[in-house]
Amino acid sequence: MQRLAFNHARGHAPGPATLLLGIGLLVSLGLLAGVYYQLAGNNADLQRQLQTRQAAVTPGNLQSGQSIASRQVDAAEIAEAQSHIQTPWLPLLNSLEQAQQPHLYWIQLAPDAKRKHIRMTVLAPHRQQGWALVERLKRQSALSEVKLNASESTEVNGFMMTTLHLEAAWKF
Amino acid sequence: MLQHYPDPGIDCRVADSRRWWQAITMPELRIVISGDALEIFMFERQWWPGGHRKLLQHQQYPLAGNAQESLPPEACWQTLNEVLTPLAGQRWHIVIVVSDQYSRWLVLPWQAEIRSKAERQAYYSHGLQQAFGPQLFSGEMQDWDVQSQAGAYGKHVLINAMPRGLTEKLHTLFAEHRLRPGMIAPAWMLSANQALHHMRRQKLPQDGWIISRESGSLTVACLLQGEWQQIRYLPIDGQWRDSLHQYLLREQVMHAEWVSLPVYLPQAQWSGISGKALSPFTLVDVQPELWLGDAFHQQLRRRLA
Repeated sequence: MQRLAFNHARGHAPGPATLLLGIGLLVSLGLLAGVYYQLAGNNADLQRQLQTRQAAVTPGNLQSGQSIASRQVDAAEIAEAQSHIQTPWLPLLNSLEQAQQPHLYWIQLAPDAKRKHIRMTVLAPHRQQGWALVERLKRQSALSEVKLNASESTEVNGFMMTTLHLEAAWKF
Repeated sequence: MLQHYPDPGIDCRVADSRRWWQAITMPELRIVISGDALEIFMFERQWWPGGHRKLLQHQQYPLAGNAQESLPPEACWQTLNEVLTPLAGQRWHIVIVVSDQYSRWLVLPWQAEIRSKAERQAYYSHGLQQAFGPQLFSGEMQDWDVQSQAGAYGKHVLINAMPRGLTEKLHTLFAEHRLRPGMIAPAWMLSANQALHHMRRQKLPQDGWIISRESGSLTVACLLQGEWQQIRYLPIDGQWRDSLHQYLLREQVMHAEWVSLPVYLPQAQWSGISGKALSPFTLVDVQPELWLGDAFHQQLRRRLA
């Protein structure tokens, strides 16, 4: 049972407990505001430091020879990768397929992207079929400088066949 | 005259004052207004919480009042004016204690359906009219300051009403003397707070009859398991001890659950009442914490006997 607190006197002043609670809350609010402003100041300092660091490492500010050399190596690697990506393998394959006929067996295809050059080894049942292939390759618009380097007879599974060594350049 | 041994800090807590900072830092001027007397107490300031207070001055002014009037007689205001004149503008924590017919008490059951303040006021108004008659409490309740205190949700509500004319006159009179009351308290509350303090200190169950002896009546309240059950006015004469005993026996018969509740009576020994006289009830003599000196004790003992 709480004590009785009937009081008919006028007044709306807060009681001591309420006042202490209010003062406590105000002090806490002040402390929190102080902590907030301190953290905000630290944050602003860190932001400034970050911006300074970022400005120091921009490309225009790179001065050392080692950095320049490493960037040149990187650029060469990037260019090579781009050339690989840009090599028209599919149009080249299409051109070879147009010259293809049954009973011709492609043994080897060795493209060289740097020189835009391809070496081919083809197995044909008859020598004339091999020469006909050379003629068809010469007629492909995507290819140029088609040459028959060598032809030789080869026995495959008991059958006599002709091995043709060809080379060509592409125009892409 | 109110038969109460003042116990500042116990019967009126500092935190309950409207001007509690004055209660901490200033001496206390306590004015007791009863139907037949005006009593003035001056206590020195309390230098630390729970510390000793010395009674600086004590005066009594008998008044020829009418027990039926709801406002004090003009002589009371004149006397109070004379008392306050030399104190005008001084630093005092002022406690005014109102007793007898100037303060009305009532216990009402909890009403869970009541939601608004207007409904609550109407409920209290109806209860006061039923208890004290429509002549005293008009339907508008504009003439009374009503305050309530509920122990907890669902428990009975204790209500106190004081004539608004009395509180306004007090505020006006004190303002004229550049003083502001910190507390205007009903007299029975002081006895109840003393008894509750005694229960807490002695770790007693919160059960019992709590009695305040005023000029022509006893205010008797029943507390059961921390809940106020009822509060009654018992008109008394020279045989007030027998009247109280008969009343308690009668209530015990009417309410079986109130059997053998202890009776908390301030200064019971000085009042010439013993546990034997109130048998089968246990009499608890509520003693104040404050010692106001031999002179005051002798005077109070003569008055109480």
